[in-house]
Amino acid sequence: MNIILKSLNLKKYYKTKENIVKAVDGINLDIEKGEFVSIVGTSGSGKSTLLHMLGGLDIPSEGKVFVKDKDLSTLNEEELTIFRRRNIGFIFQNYNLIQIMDAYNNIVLPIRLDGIKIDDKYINKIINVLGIEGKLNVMPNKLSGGEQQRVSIARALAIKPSIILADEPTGNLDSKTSQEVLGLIKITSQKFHQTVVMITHNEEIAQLADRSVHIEDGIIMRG
Amino acid sequence: MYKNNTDNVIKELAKSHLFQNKSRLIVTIIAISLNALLITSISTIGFNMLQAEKLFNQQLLGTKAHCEIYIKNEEESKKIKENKLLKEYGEYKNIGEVKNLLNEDLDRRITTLTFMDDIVIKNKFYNDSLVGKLPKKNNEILIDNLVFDSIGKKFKIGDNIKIQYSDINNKLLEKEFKVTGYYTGNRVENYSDFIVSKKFFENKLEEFVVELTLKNSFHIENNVKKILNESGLDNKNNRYTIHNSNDILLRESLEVVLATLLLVIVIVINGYLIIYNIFYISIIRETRFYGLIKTIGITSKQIRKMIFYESMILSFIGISIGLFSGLGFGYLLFKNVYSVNDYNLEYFNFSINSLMIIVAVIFSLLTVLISTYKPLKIASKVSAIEAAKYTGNYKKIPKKTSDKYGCKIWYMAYSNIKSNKIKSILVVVSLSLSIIMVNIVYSLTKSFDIDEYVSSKMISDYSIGDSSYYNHQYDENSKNSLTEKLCDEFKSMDGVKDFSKVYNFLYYGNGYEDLRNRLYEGYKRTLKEENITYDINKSEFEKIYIQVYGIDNFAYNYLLDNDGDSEDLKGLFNTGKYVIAEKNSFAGKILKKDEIIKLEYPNKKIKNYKVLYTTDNVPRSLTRSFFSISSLSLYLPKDEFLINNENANVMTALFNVEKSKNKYIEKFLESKVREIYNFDYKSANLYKKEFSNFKNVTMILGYSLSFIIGLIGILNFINLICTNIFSRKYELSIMQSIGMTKKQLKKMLSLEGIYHSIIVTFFVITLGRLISYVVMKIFESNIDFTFFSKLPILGMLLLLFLFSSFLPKLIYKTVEKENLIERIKYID
Repeated sequence: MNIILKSLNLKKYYKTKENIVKAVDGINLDIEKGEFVSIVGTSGSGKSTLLHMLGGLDIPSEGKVFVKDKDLSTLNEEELTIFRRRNIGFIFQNYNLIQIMDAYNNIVLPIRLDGIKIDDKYINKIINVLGIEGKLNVMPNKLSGGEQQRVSIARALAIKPSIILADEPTGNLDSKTSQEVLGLIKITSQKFHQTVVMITHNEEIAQLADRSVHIEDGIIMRG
Repeated sequence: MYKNNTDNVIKELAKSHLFQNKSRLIVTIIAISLNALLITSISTIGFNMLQAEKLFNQQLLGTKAHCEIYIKNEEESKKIKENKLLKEYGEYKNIGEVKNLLNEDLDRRITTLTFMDDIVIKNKFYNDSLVGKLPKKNNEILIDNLVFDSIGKKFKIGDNIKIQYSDINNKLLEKEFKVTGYYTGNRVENYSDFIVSKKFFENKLEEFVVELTLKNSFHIENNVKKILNESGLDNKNNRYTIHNSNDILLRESLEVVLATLLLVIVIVINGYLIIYNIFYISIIRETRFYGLIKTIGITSKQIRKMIFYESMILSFIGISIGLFSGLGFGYLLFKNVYSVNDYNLEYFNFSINSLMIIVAVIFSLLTVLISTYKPLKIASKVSAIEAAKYTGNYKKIPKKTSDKYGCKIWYMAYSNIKSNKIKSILVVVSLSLSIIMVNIVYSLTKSFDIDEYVSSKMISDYSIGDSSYYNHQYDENSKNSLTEKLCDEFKSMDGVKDFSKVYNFLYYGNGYEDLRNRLYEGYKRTLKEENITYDINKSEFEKIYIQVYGIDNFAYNYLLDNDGDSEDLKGLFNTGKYVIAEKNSFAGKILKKDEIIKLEYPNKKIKNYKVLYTTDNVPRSLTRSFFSISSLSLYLPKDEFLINNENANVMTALFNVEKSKNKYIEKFLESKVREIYNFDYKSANLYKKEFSNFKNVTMILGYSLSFIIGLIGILNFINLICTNIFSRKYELSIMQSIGMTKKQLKKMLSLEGIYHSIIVTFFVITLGRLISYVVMKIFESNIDFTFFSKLPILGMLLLLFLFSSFLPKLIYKTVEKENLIERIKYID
């Protein structure tokens, strides 16, 4: 077994004056390299919080996250940012493209922020697979939702990350575009041997994954 | 290599981020350039005021050099010349006094035959007006134009001039020289130099003076002693004189330096408040953007770099604009301020110093740096999750509000103000201050009465006299450039009317025991009334200065008795048997009506006069600016004065001019000033110009300061409303979703604005009146302050109410437009 992402007794509690909200309550999860896993749950089940902690965006109240055997809790903020930049690609529900840059610069921004030379051959390949060759010089606000999400997939892949974390990637798209985008995530993950963790509330979409993990009230129910 | 790569992408990000939001870009540039403009102009004015002060001091001293050392022979001077502390070294030697070439009018101007090298000539300001060349050969000479003009003879370059001079032993010598050039000497001084070259001594110079300028203009005296020591010379017998040092200058100009520094600090704080606000608001508004670029992998350090880079681009543009406009603005303001002052700076050039520019740039940059420091930190600390959160479950629980009033709109607005106390105070203070200041400036400038100001200085369109009269050094026994002949010339000119001559003499009177006692008692009484604990000594009243003036009917009209029938009294006055006494400004009325007073004329003739009355407030034009604590001024009719004092000089002559002839007369006067040595004049026009300049400067400074403070208030207000809206966006959405209409929401925001205005109104009416009263009291001692207007207060308050109720709605509208989708997501 080649475990690339691992969580150990992961917890996230929010304290309010009256009570404690247990968003994530002791989750143990192993994800193998090249696996496509979906995390399924209803709204408020804690799936987003879990994903944020797996991606190093949020800090757990308790427990640990290992990415490529690296314990994220040992990194300071600066190191964590750099680690995330190099190892984790994000795909968000609302694409989160940077509005002040055209599509191409959005795609290569993480690489440039790292100061690495851009692998043009590889980038072109991604662009071709995603079918956005004609949109590279267009500003994000001039792109349709589906096109924006393709650009954001390309950006997630560009740095050749160890894992891609997708947070409801089709949440803002109509069903036809959703099918296309999901297909693209699946194809690219196979083609570029990527590990993908995707959260969704939609059982049907979850079925596309190699494995589905169901969570409810911050606890894994099955998977 | 890697570093450069990331730097480039950060720069690109910064640039596109900066230029994407045009309105923020423009507002920030305006704020930075305004700040730089104020700093540059203030430091420019401060620097030039110091320079002017320095030049003025140097002109008074007659040299730019730091010190003089008395030298026996050239061996001594050689040693000094080599000293490393020196910046400039010059030599001079007085040869003797010039005895010929002078006419009677000039016998007060001492002319010296002097050797000076080029450095000394430069130090004495002579090369500012130099025409021709410096003397080289032993028979060459450079002459002073002032002497040249007034002897009525014109010497051209190349002319020969025969000079008689007395040497140190009072031996009269004569030598013929060839004129190589001429200069215009110092009008304020009463001496001139005729300058010869070193060849005059056949190069053997003994017993002379060296003038030194040192590299360091501080601690001059210590350095001079050091130079003497190092040269092996003793420093006994007052061997040196210190002229001029920055120590003294700085001490004397400490006020200017401190005022400049204080103003710059106030401006930096103002600038900080404005620029900080702009950056702060934009960063709070763009939290999501910063969160987003963080999820993509930008580090905190890179964000700091990005914002720093943005602020540097903004600073470069803003400071460049501010620097150039500030230099121009400073120049204009300086010219206006200085024309109000009494300095006569013929050769002063407004200068721009590189150090001054560096200081202005540093302070402007400093303002930007301290302003962006905190916003920069906030931006770099934005968590990546801020951006990610927008996708889903936002679990913040809205703050619980009081049950009783919780849902009342007015109460919600009130609790918003309560929860932002510090910001609200800042808004209220700066808005109140701005309104109070505008009102003070308005009232102040309105109450500047130009006629009153001019009439306090002048009672006629023009006054003419010897320059010593205007320098407060009038001496009736000295030669006077204002002769009877000159008066006749003016009197007969077309357009001149009300021509009135004023005569005067002053003597130190013996006797007058009773008067001296009355003066002493008067002083004592006033001291007691004013609660001043000064022990006045009777010996100070041992003698009394009697100032006697001769005036005509024109001047009489300004010395009226407040109670009496002026026409009857005028008849009595003109009989020549009466005097009018001036009320002593401190001791009050000394002489009683109908009392007999004995006067002694310069020719020892003694005559008795009856006191007609005592008058208040004698105009300045009718006095000789002589002050002593035991002094009495008495006015006689001109004819009576002249009968007993035949050869009296005219102290001053006053006259009015028909409007159409004004320009012509002014030109004529100017030509007379050039033509006649020591002749001078003052005009009401000049004072009018001075006065309106002063008024303009007060208005520019006052209104711009109020504007800036008001701007800070408004920006803080916008900031307050913005942060309210942003920080409670979720709460507002919830309220909207549970049925609070947009209209109600806007009403709540407007109410917040109106509450602020109410507090401001309260402050302006209560505290504002107090501040205005205090400020006006201060000004009252200098200027007759009669006008207090409520108009600007009412106008500004009305504006404030309109503004504060509409602005929040406007801000809400912009917010709503920009973030519609996000807002919907919140509700999701």
